[in-house]
Amino acid sequence: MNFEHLTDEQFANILAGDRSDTRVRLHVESCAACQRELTSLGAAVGDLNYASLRWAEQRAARIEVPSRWVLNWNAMPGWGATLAGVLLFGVAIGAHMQVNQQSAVVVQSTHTIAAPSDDELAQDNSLMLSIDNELSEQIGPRLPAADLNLSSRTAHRRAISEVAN
Amino acid sequence: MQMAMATDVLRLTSRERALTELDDIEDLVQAHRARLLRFVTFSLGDEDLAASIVQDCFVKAWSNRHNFRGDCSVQTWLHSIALNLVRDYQRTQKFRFWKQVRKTATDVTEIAGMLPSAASSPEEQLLARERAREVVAILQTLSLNQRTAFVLRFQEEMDLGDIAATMGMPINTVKTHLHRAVRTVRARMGGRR
Repeated sequence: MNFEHLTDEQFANILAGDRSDTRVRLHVESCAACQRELTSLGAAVGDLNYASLRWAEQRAARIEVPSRWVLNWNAMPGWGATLAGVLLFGVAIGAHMQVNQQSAVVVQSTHTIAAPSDDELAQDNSLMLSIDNELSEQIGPRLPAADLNLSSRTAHRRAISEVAN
Repeated sequence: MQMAMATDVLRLTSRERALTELDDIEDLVQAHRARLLRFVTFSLGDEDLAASIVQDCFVKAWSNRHNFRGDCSVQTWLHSIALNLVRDYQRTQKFRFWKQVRKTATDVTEIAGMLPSAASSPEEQLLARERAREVVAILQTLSLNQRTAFVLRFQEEMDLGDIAATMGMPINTVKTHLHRAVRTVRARMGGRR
């Protein structure tokens, strides 16, 4: 029988357990090289299947059953999810605005200056009066503005006449 | 005519059965999580990411269970959802970034270390582990489509029709991916090509 070694397609079929092609089956039975290759790769794939399934069974325990809440949220139709989203957004915006208003009131109240009491006014007045008195003692009695202007003019004329004489 | 009706009745029955299976989320997770985790881990090479995608896959399957037509088995349907999630994730920038920088991803070749150690001699065990490790390493070099076709055919033992349904491709395209994968594996494992 004139038969080349197995093609990739024939190799894949027979590796997957498909032995329906008689020509292929007969070739494998009579060809040591193909037998060796098939046995080697078949064993490797078989071992890998076994090992990987054991590995996955150990690790799969971490995959928990999704909660009802997650399932129901995802099962919600598109319009329902959109509506729920809009409602949530509205509630969030409302809450945010309420918080802003409250904080504005607080800020406003901190900036309001309370009216001074009568005692505080009396203390301020007495302080101002004592300062005024002290200053008056240091610089003499206060002159009326008209007198001040007259005396300064007189002094100036006197000084000029002295220089001229 | 009668044949067509009988086929429809059979399909309806299998759909009803599948819907019952899909309704019970706990049983669904218990029955399929290990195989799905293995499939997605081989697809992405990252166990943590695979676990997250498998979780999403169950949520998606349960949420869309009424869309299940009963054309294929629940296992095939779940694999197709998982594969779509893998494809979606691979398109994201986040995945590209993590693929470049990740240092904590699962070394899938470690899976070969789970081989039993009772039946054969230590030398044979070592050889078997090395062989299995080599196959895993070669699979990681294949394209996603080639790797998926190979894993579904030889690990999940699906027939070509189910693989085509899972991958959303014509059977001939699946065959092309599968044969290219087999060619690479044969060549790298010391075959004659």
